[in-house]
Amino acid sequence: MFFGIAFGPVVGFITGFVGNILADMLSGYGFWVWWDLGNGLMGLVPGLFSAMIYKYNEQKSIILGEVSVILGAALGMGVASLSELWVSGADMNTVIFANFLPAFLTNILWGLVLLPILMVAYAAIVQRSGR
Amino acid sequence: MVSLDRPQLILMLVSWNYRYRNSPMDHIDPRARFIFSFAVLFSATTTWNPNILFAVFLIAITWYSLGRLTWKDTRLGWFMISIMLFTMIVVNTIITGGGAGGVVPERGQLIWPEGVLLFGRHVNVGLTVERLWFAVSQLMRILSISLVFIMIPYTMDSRAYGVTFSKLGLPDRLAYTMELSFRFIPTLARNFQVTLDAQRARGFELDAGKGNVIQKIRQVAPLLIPVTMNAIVSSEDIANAMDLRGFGQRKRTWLYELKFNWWDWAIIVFSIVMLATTVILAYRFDMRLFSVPRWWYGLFD
Repeated sequence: MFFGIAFGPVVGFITGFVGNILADMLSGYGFWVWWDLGNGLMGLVPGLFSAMIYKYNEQKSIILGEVSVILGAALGMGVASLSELWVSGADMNTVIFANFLPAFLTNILWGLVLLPILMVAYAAIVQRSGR
Repeated sequence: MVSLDRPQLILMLVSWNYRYRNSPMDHIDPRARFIFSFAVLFSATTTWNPNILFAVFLIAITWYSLGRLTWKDTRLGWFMISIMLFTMIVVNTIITGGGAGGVVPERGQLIWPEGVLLFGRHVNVGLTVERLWFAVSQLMRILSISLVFIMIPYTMDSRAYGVTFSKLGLPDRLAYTMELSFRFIPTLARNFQVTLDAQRARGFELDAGKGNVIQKIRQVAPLLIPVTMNAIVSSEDIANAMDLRGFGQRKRTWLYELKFNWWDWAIIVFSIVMLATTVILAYRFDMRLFSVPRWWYGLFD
């Protein structure tokens, strides 16, 4: 999500997509392409907001970032969870309560707390290095 | 160029789950493996027909056995899958019946028409023979997919991903991003360890476990922020170095070479035949929908 905000939708998508593949590989969970895609979308949506964000430590930018976290997590985890309808043959009830809600809530919790901290820290780097 | 067939020592600071086992799987081209894995995925999700699902399940088991993986190797992955299976099958299909909605007919043959005696109380259990068979079908479908996908990190060399995706038709830039990400992991792990040590020297405790969930997440910030910022600065250095060397000007070559052997072609042909047969049976011969075999009813008479 942060990489999407900082570098745009393509980087956001690739960070989420490849990052999830790497995390699954390292933890030994296997290769779940539809969840990798969901994580990619979770990074892509904040990336779409990056054009509206100029100064990372401004209140307006942080609010936009937080909104993008919620939308990104909703779309990304929504797509990944809905794919279970097709893959596992689960019904909508299972998809919402067993797949979507746990993944969505965990992601927005981490995103809402850490994104503003990362944005403020990145603003300092941008200012210092003249990027 | 270097062939991926030969076992080579990978010196890394993080532990990849892959190791060379000299198993049949180690000699199968990664492209053929991905094509087969996706053929199993699409075959298993095309139908609820028990015969087709059982055939795909047997094929997946055979495929998994080619990896010569031990339980110790893969237990973490199977633990995650068993949680998913428990939620989907035991809770949603067998206990509540929700998971079978839309596929299994509403009314069916009750397994315990008189109910069951539980702790001295008479309890009505609505579990039907059809719903129990649906749970078996769901188990075969999810296990077939899990068997082929869970083994990938354990049996595929991490150096092969970039070249594999490139040769499968992914744009070079995306394939190289994957390759670079894999190579960047040890550096990231080293940065993480250095930062953790530095913060600990300042009195930072990662396992403090104090406060609510939000406070616990915030506690990770002194570790996460320096590592992330360091990664951004390093990646910009790499991007500059690549620009200076003219990356992206023409099609790149890969250090590791992939070569198809006759058995790889056989696997690709088998994958295509398997998928085509499943689709034809499902749509041309109307074997797509859920059905319960006769012998299954006989078990509950």
